[in-house]
Amino acid sequence: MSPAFSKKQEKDSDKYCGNLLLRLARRMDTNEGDAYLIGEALKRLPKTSCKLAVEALFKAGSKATDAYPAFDIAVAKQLKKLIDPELVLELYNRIPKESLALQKTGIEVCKQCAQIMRDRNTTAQHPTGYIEVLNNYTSRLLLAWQVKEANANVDITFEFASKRYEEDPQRFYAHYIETLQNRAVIHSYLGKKDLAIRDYKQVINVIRNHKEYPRRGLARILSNYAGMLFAAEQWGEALKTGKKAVALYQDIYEESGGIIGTQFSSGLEPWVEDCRPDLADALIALSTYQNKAGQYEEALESVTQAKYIFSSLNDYFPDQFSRHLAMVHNNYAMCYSGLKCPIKVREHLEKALAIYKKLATNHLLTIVGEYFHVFINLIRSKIIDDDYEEAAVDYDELVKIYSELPQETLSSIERYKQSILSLKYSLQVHFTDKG
Amino acid sequence: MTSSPLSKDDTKPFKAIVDEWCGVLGIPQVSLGLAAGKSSEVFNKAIKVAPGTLPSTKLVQNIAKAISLITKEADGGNNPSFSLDVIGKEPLETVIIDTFYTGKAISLSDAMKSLKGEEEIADLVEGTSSPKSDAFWDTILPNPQRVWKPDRSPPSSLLTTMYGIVPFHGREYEMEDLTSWAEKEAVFGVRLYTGVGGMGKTRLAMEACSQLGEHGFTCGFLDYDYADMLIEYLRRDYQSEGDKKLLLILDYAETNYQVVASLLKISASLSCGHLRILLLSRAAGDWWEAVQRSHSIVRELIMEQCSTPIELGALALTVEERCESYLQAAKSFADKLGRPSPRATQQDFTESYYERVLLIHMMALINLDEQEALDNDVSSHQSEAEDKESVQDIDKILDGILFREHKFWCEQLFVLQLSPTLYNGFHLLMGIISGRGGVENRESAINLIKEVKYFQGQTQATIEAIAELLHSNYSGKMWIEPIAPDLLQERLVSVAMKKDMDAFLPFFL
Repeated sequence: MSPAFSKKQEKDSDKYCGNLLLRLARRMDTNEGDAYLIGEALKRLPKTSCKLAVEALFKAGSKATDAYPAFDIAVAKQLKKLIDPELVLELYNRIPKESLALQKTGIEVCKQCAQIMRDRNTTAQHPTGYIEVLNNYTSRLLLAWQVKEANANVDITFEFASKRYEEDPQRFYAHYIETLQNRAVIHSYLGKKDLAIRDYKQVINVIRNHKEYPRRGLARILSNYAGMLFAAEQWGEALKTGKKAVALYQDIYEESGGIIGTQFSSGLEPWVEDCRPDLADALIALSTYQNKAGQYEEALESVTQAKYIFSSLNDYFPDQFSRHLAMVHNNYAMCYSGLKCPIKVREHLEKALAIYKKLATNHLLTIVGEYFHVFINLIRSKIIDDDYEEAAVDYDELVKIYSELPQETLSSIERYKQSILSLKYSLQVHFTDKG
Repeated sequence: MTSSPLSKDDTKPFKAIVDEWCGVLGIPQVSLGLAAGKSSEVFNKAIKVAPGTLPSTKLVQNIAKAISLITKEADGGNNPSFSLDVIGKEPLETVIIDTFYTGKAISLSDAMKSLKGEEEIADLVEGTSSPKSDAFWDTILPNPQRVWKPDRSPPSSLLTTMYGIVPFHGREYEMEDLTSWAEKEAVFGVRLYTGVGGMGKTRLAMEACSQLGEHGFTCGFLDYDYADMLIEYLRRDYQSEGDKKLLLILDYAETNYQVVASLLKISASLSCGHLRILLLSRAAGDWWEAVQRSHSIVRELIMEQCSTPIELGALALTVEERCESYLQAAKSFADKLGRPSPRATQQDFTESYYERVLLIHMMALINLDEQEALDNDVSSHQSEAEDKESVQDIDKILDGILFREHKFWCEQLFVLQLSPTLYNGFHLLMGIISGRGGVENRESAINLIKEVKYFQGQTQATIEAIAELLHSNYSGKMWIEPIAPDLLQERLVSVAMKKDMDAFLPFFL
């Protein structure tokens, strides 16, 4: 068989499979019960079909939020039959972790996959796959704020991964690093800042011994580590590490020749190849550290660079980076607060809040913490400006939003409760004094 | 210059010609293919490339398209499709163009004669002709209309837009709105119409083509295989044609969103002309977001012109309107089938799914034939997962039409004096063919049928007869087209898969 012929056969097979999945996906218009057929097709067809299935749903004209429940049903049914866990996982890995509709099922899939691998004694045979399943499970638990369960799971993962790393560092270093990072995040969630910092230090040490570790990964770790140091009130260290992260991202971007990921044909999220969003995020974080250090002008410069990046990306991917732009405005407000420009502070907080209000319609759980943070700061700024009337109106709105929040969001805004009470107190004092 | 082996003897089997080409070009092995190279004087002349020079991939693609056109014309419209593989950046003589050919050898010189002239081929290959010939537009915007044949056309074709059996009715407002939008003084316009399957999007667009065609528009449904030729034309030639009125329909826009994005990007840069693009899709989902994200110019254009897609509403909203549409369809079907047409109907059209006009017309066809079609053994097709009454009813209607299709296959088998036991296989076979998106040529059809359960072990003659039968019933762009309309096709695929997954799924591996 000539190479051209076999290449053509492979292409045909993909085409037929894609055509079938497209027709099944289109059936969702008429009979959602047929979703299980997509699951059956995925179970029996090659693994690449997962990608084709996601594309089929895309091409069937659906919105991800509408289409993914079809996967939910299909995969849940398959789980009962103890199907190939790797296949299911591959499918789930293609589904955004942030997808709320699938959050519970996603967690269940990962849990079952890990259990199936243990029951079938395939963990020794596929150690990297097992660690990937466990780490995936941890990150899904964290996204659902199930920190206790995530902590228990990361301990199991760490025990397994660290042993493998000791036996064969070259093969397992990346998996070990990911596990350590997950543990660091959990420690920070649990308020165990020292342990989190210890984990990050260990991650950086491991990377020192493995120079082939992707620099973009290192930049991300440095950025997270800086955030942790800042949370631990090690301001100076946070600033130093944050600067390293930004410098590394800048190098990577410059070396890439300024590639701009705008070819959506390369996938559904073309910007993932483009490191500018990460660079801009690191710049926002850096501006926070600079601001804390009293370097207001430098902080303003950093956040302006971030704004420039997100605004230019917004031309290509409208609305995709709204949340990041809201953060930019929040940090502008912080800088202007340091520079004693209250008008600018309020202006930027208003801008940030407008974005969050828009985002809250569909992404409330993801943004609720930032949303409340900005809202509270805006009310505070109004109180400082003696604009009690407007502050009171905003406060009522905030309380109304709070009272209507879904149960699952409450844990993520627990820390703002005190701030809300403090606002209430300030307003009460003012209006009582005024009679 | 060596003469083309294809021009030597047009009675030779295709394989022999390929072998000869391999000898001339020094290519060791081609499983199935047509080699175009320095030996072909036609192409050398047409593309003005000296033998042995390096052609661009684009140029080779255009040659492939020219070959497709030649073979299409010469083969009496059998329309072999082809794919092109450029093996590295090699000189022209080692470029191999794979074609799925029908097996009939043709001579290039004869093929050339059957076209309007050599110049036209040269124009097509070079893409420099201005204004474009009818052949160019017939290729890019082929006429989708088909002629219904009482002896050959399957019952499903009565419902298919391209046969236009039921006269266009209703939608006066939509048509007026569409034509006035098209006629408006503006260089460019784009609209997106959405609606679930069976709402009548394609029919509306076909009617728009028909009406605007009479008002000086060049219009039609884009054949996506030739999208790059169209893009090239818009980029290079369109503006030199003055205010040429052009209406492009992009059906299934969601499956071709890259083409949509490219066309919109080019259209946004036009400073003269009169171009309208009509996009049809089931929903403005993630693909529409992706189109907007493709380029800031495209996003701005969409925001300005069609920030809100037009959701096509029901053709018949009230029960009375639905009855009217039903009777009109019933009369059209009755006329075609030589049956008396009903004067009234007792059918209950209160269900909301009758917003899909196709389902009303399906009911007309089912009731016209025999009520028993609905009561027949369709229950075996029902999915175990179906739990909604309304959903069951839609599938019941689709199954009623599928039942008629089965009866038609049985009758055809009887005419061909083939064993009625083969009937069982048609369901699975057409499900597979429809699921795959059709069959490209005769040889592929024969190879596929041989492998399908129920047909395994049949004689070559029987297999060939079945292939020819399906070809004559379902011919189109593909040698055997999937069953239509889409709603029916999707139901058939789902039913065939549910019935026997082990027999069905291997054809998609």
